[in-house]
Amino acid sequence: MIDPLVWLALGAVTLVAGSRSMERVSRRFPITRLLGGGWMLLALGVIVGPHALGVLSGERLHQVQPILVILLTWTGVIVGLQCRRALVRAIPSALWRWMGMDFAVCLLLSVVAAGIVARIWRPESDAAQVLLTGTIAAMAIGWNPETRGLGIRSDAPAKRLAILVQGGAGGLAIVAVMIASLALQCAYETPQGGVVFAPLGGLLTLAMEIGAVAVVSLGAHEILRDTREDDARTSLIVIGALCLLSGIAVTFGGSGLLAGMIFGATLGMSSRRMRGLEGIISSAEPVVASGCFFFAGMTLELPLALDSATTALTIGAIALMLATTRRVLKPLIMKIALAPVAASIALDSPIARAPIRQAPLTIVILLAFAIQDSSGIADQLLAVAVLISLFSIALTGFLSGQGSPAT
Amino acid sequence: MTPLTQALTRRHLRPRFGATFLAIALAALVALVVIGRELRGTVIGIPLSDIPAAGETTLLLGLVILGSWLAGRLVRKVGLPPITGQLMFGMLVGPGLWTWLRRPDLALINPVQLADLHGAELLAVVMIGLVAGSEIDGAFVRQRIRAIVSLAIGQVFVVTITVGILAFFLLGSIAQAIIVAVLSATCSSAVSVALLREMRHPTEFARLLLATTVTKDLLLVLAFSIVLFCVAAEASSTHQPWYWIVLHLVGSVGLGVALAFPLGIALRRIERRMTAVVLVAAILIVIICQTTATAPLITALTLGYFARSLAPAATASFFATARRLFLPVCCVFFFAAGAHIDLASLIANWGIVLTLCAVRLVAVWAGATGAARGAGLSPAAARWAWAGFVPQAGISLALAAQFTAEFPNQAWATSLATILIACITTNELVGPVLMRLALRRVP
Repeated sequence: MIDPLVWLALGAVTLVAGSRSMERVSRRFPITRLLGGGWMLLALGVIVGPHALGVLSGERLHQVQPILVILLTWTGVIVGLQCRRALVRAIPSALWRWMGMDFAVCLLLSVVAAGIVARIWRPESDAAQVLLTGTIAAMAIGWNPETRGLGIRSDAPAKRLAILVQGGAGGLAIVAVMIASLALQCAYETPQGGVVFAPLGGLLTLAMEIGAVAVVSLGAHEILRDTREDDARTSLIVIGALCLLSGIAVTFGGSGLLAGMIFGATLGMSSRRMRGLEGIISSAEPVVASGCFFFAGMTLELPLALDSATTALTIGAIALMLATTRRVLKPLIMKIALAPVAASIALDSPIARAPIRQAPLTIVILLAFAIQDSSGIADQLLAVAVLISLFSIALTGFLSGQGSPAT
Repeated sequence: MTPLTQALTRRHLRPRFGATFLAIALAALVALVVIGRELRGTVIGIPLSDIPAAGETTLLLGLVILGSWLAGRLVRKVGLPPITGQLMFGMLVGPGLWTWLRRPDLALINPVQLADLHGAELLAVVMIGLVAGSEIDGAFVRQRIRAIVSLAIGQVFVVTITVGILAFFLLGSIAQAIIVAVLSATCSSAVSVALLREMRHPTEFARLLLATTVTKDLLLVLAFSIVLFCVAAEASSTHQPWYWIVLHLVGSVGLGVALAFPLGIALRRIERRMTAVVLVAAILIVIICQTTATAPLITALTLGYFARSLAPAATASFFATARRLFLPVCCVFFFAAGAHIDLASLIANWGIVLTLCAVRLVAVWAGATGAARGAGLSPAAARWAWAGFVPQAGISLALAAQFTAEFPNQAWATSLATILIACITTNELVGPVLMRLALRRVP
């Protein structure tokens, strides 16, 4: 039987998060607008998690893992749903350029950073380096799609920039999930604890996973197409497909993010809009995000607790590299990529600071890594991702206070 | 209407998914799980035991939800209720059938994995209770109280007497005969509510059957507890004290009533994320029932009824969401009921089981028809009312389990429990078909 304490904690979290009182509290404090509800739950996760009070630890944490796996898949569906035909067709060339440059620079930097980190850390196998490259790249690529927290400017150039920021964040989220999934499949941890680099086996597993997921997605899509506005049946297919996809992903050594993304993309690419399904997805989005943040809070291990100087140095190096990339390189890439359309967008508006902020999806991706990693390094990287996210938010707030643009 | 328009209309009305599509989809789903596991083991070389438990649980839950739904739709094509398909899918995938065929390794879900789904099963019981409770309209019950009481009492009286006498002749013990008789009189609220939810606009007859089933089952749970206490007092010295049994039932009802107030108050303040709120509320009810040793179905039934009566406006969204989630819940519940079916014991005792079931069927028909005529129901309703009281599932199985727990390691109790479960299994398979027929026949 599932431990009552686990459910009581989750129940309290959901009921509090869904209540009107919580909404009133959030409205009263402007900081919550900046941080979002997820951060509160992350803090709660840290408090009740194994590294603080220990209310949820060991076997109890193990019992709620199916929920976490489903939440990851659901996140993947949300990311994948952005692949709507109309949206993809509407992407302007400037945005393609921006996304391409960001991706190329971040990937290059990740390879270099992983190489440097490997020299400090000296991992036992190449596999760990591949895994590290994938992790760093997933952390570096993209930015936070949220633009309301940066202040509202309703003129057309600012709106155009906001759309580019949101579109770019969505597109790069897909890329980040793909890179993370590839790294996770090619370099995986064996049950004995060693990290194995098996690119051929990894790709084969990935192909099998994608094949199985595609079959489920197409089948579910075919049935969903027929459900019209019947919410009960739509709920059943979505819940069933999410469970099945999560199970398939874990069976093949994946995380559910990619499986969910393929499912979401299949639905998004459909010629017919499924409003019932979109309603279910959009209504559950805050709960899914809150749940992921809560689990991230429970999973992360603060770098303060590091027992080895080498690991501390490794984590520090990754943090420094990511922070520098966010503060210096990202705004520069944006300026270069959007230069041809600079006249029609407001590069001097606060929205131009958006690429500085770390994408919240990074935390979810690292959570997926952390589930499969028993060495503890992913838990610490998760803490780094959280700290950098907070740092990037604080930095954006500081720059807003100074009233200067991003650069 | 021109021939072209007629053809287009026919094409529009024709369901997109025929029996072939559903059968292929179901086979593909099962094949996907089997092939996935095999590939994982053979190509990558990682055995099944190394797959994280979380992945295995979610995989099976997906198979259960989607597979049961597809199986339900498939059997609907041949005029059977979806519940029958869900039960059959549970039997096919679960360990019962394969254990009987002496190939337990071929079962897609083994007993340990089935036990892992117990949490989801309990959640389904609570959700069914909540929806069933909310479906009972206080005004309707007050208006039709005479018919409900007549149907309940008439049917219980005839079934317990008839089946009791037969059981005494077959088993040779008064105590055992009373246990069999009381258990035979129970029906299934879960089946009633599932078939009622299947109808877009539930008829008055369907609502009457549900209200009678719930009322009757509440009374029979009390009666069974008293009988069990008396038999236990005779047979062993380690039985539960009497106040514990009273507490179990009164506590279950009382807990439901007590929880209705905070739920109503909470729902006045919560308006968003209702799906999560419904799920969390159901989980909390399961926890509270487990902690206080009360019956989840009775608690949820009472809670659903009182919450809806006390705060109809505040709870409207909550129960609408619960009804939306009812379909996957039904799939899990009836799949689990099918997977738990012990085919070996059913086949081993088929003679006695069939006799008991046949006599029960006749007694239900006689009792319900007589009572319905006496209560002044319409001729069609009086003719078909009996069919609504044939199904057995959740409460009956729970009472049988309570009986087994009361007399552990006693040969007579084990043998009687086997017969009881086999009888319930038969009624579980036949009942929904008859009830659906009745709901279709009575306007």
